[in-house]
This record gives sequence, structure tokens and C-alpha cells, in this order.
Amino acid sequence: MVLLLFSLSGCSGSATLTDAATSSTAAASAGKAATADFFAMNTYMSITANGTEAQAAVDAAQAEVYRLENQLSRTITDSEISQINAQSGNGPVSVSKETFDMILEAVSYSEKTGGAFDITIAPVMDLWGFSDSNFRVPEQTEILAVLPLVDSQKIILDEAALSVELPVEGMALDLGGIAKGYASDKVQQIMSTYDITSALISLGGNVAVFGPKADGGLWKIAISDPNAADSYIGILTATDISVITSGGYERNFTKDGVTYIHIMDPALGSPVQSDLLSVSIITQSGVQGDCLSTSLFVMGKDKAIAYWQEQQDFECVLVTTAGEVFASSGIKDTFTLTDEQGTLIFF
Amino acid sequence: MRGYPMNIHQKNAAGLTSAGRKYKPQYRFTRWDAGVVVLIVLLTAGIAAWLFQTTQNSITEDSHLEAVLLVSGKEVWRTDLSVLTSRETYDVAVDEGGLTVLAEAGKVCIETSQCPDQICVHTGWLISAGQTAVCLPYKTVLKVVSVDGQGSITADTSALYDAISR
Repeated sequence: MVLLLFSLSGCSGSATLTDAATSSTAAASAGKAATADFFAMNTYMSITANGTEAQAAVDAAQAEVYRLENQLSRTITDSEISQINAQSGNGPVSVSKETFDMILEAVSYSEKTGGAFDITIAPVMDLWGFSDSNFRVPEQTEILAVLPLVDSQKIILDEAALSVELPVEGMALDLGGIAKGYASDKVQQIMSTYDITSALISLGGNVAVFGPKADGGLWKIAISDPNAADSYIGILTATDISVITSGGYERNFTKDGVTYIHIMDPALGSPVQSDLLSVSIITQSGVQGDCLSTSLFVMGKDKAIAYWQEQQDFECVLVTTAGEVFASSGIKDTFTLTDEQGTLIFF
Repeated sequence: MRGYPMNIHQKNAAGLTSAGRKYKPQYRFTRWDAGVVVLIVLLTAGIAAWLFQTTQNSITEDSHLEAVLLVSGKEVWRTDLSVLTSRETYDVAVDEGGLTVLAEAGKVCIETSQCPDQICVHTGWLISAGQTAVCLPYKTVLKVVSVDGQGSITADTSALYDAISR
């Protein structure tokens, strides 16, 4: 025992200890971190895990994202969504239960939000050039010609056959408003099967965290300032949560002095013009966060607040064009504004 | 020897007991012995834990910020922001375009880019661990990480935030 004591006194900088120091070994294992940085779903993604199986967990998470991209992307020719779109007006297409359920949920959100969320928006996005970055401002006649193709209620879903049909030729699905949220939920499920203590997931700015940080504290999740790319409007302190933000400040183009953002109003067939610069949804469901961040942005401030008051199964932060920040009362104790002189109104 | 009576376990100068037998010490492991062993084990564990904690503290104290540039997931450039005394630039040629990274003491940014949307350039200076500037067209990520004295990425408790939702 004396010899063991002296041998340990010579150790420094090593995380490999004897079984006698079990708490130290556990701390060393809990401190192991692994990160996967990659591009998928047309965006940058970063997944970090802490724990004994951190590397295996992030590897599995990355593989899952790639799997979902191959299944859901409409820019990948043999994806299920591409097959559905290619068959528009020509009958049903058999799909996996996973894809069927996702489309079903998307249609449900379309109903719940009064059409503010609509996965049949693809023809409008193509018209404005947001699909291939050949941006243009279409004529109103062109918009009116494609608007009849935008209606989630027209999608024919056969649960028994697991088939999806777009009955009108030219209709097309774009799952950009739900896919990252779904991927985030799936990634968390998969990672939780590994021996990890915590994880931080950012899929194109859709942030999800679970478990305590390596130092035992809560995560600090900033919400981007829609007016300044290198700044943030506030910090949410939490864990086991997703924070998903929608805004027009990153994907847009300007023509003749007018800026057109990528978030479309399904009713008008043109970029949203509302009193909101960004909407952040705080929720445990990535799918809900993804769908509602777009929906509430389309709705505008008053309807967004009314929607929250009606549902109250999520929290949110709204940044208006007037520079005000509105936040739901559920995050009163966990959300802090960066600008102490700024206006923060809880509803 | 005459004198006080000898215990059967006592021995005389010749090593003989009072019974005339060669004295062979007999060790019996008592509760006191067990207690001493436990005490030594606990002492050892406590010292080991203290040594480990001291080591961890020194790692945190030695941490510094580094800028890392990844192109298509592969690290192509890295610099220690804590030791820079002058401007440092790094040019990346990607496809038919490219970008330039600029690093100064304690901060780094994508200074110029030939990408169409310029989001990476508009991100501005990165000054805290966890911050990133992303150029999607060129599949390039510039990020700031906190690195410990052994070159491993470590948590930076002074970081402005852990992640940003955008």
C-alpha cells in the first residue's frame, strides 16, 4: 500500500488511474468529448457528445442525418420525396412508414396553423429561385399560376397502403421546414442509447441539448440577432431542450433595393412580409420547433402570440421589426436579454 | 531464567518459550489490522483524487483559444489566437473560388470570400469558444475552440455561449 501511495504521487497529467480512485475515473470518462462537423441537408451541422462512448454516439448521429437526407431531400433523385414529386398527377407512391408519418405530421401542422406551414410550397420556392439560387422576382401572373398547387389538404395519404399521392401535376413537396427538426429528434434518440452524459446538437442552427454540461452546469444557448450576424439578442439557460429559430436574415436576395427572404407565405405565393424579424421556438420536440418557427413567422406577432396562448405547449421568443423582443412567460426565469437597455416584453 | 512467569508466547534470549519449544511468531489478522488496511486504502484514494483534481485544474488554467479551419470536414489550418502579435492570413482555394481567413490577437474572421451569399464574411469576428463562421457554398467552417495544455479541446467556462440558434 505504501508503494502504491508513492507511485501515485509521481503521476501527473494522466487520466488513467487505479480502481481505487473510482470517482476520478468516472470524471475522466465523463469528460471525454467527441465532435462531428459536417455538411448535410444543405447546411452546416455540428454534433458534440460527452462520455465514454462519445465518438460512437456522434458517428451514429452523423450516419443518421445522412440516411435521412438520402430519404427526404428533393434534390436527391432517388429519395422518397423526389419519387413522390416525380409522380405528381400520376397516382400514389409507396413510401416508408417513417416518411409517411412525417408527411402526416406536416399536414397536421398545416391544419393547426391555418395553412401558415405548408410542405407543398416547393413550386413557389422554385419560381423565386430559392431552390437553385437563380434568384428572380416572378410576375404576379406566374405566381397566380402556381398558387393552386400549394395546398397540403390536397395531399392524398393512404395509411393502409403507406402511399402518398400528389393529385395535381406540378405539385411538389419540400420538407425543408420539418426535416431538420425531425433529424434532431432522431439523433437524440440514437445518441441516448450510447454511454454519454450530455450532447449538444446544432443542425443548421437548430440547437438541441441534453444532459448537463461537462462542468455540471446548464447550457447557454444564444438566439441570433437578426440585425447583426455576429451578435445575439439573448441567452437561454437550460438543458433537455431544443431551440429552433426562423428568420429571413440568412437566406435572401436583394433586387432593385428590395430584399426578398426565403420564407414564403403559402397564401400569397411570395416572401413573407410581417412585423417579425425572427421567431425562436423553445420545446422538447424538434419537429414542433421546426414547424412552428416557420408558422409563427408567417403569422406575424399578434397571431403568433394568440397561437401560443391557445396552445401553450411550447415557449417562444419573437423579435419584431421595431426592435422589440417578446417572449412567452414560461422562460421568464431562464431567458436573459443581451442588451440591458433593450425592450423585453413577456406575454 | 527465573523471574516473572513467561507467557507461552514469550520467548527467552535463545528463542525458546517457557515450554521449551522454538518460538514461532503467530500472526492473527485482527479487527485492528483490518481497520488499518481500510484507512490506508481510503488515504490512498483521497490522495489520488486530490492529485487528479489538481491536474485537471492545471489543465483548465492552461487552456487557450485556437482558430480552426475545416474544408469539407477536414482540418486545413489552425492557429493559437493567444500568441498572435500581428495579423495572420490564410488563403483557401475552393473549386473555382476561395476565401481568406484573417487572425489577430484573440480573434479571427473570414475576411473575404468569393462565395455568392457572403454570409461567412458578414458573420464578422469570432472571439469566443464555440463561435463559428460557415461558408456553405465552399463547405468551409471557421471555428474557435478552447484547447487545454495537452492540446485537447476543453470546455471554456468563460465562453459567451455554448451554441447559437439562428
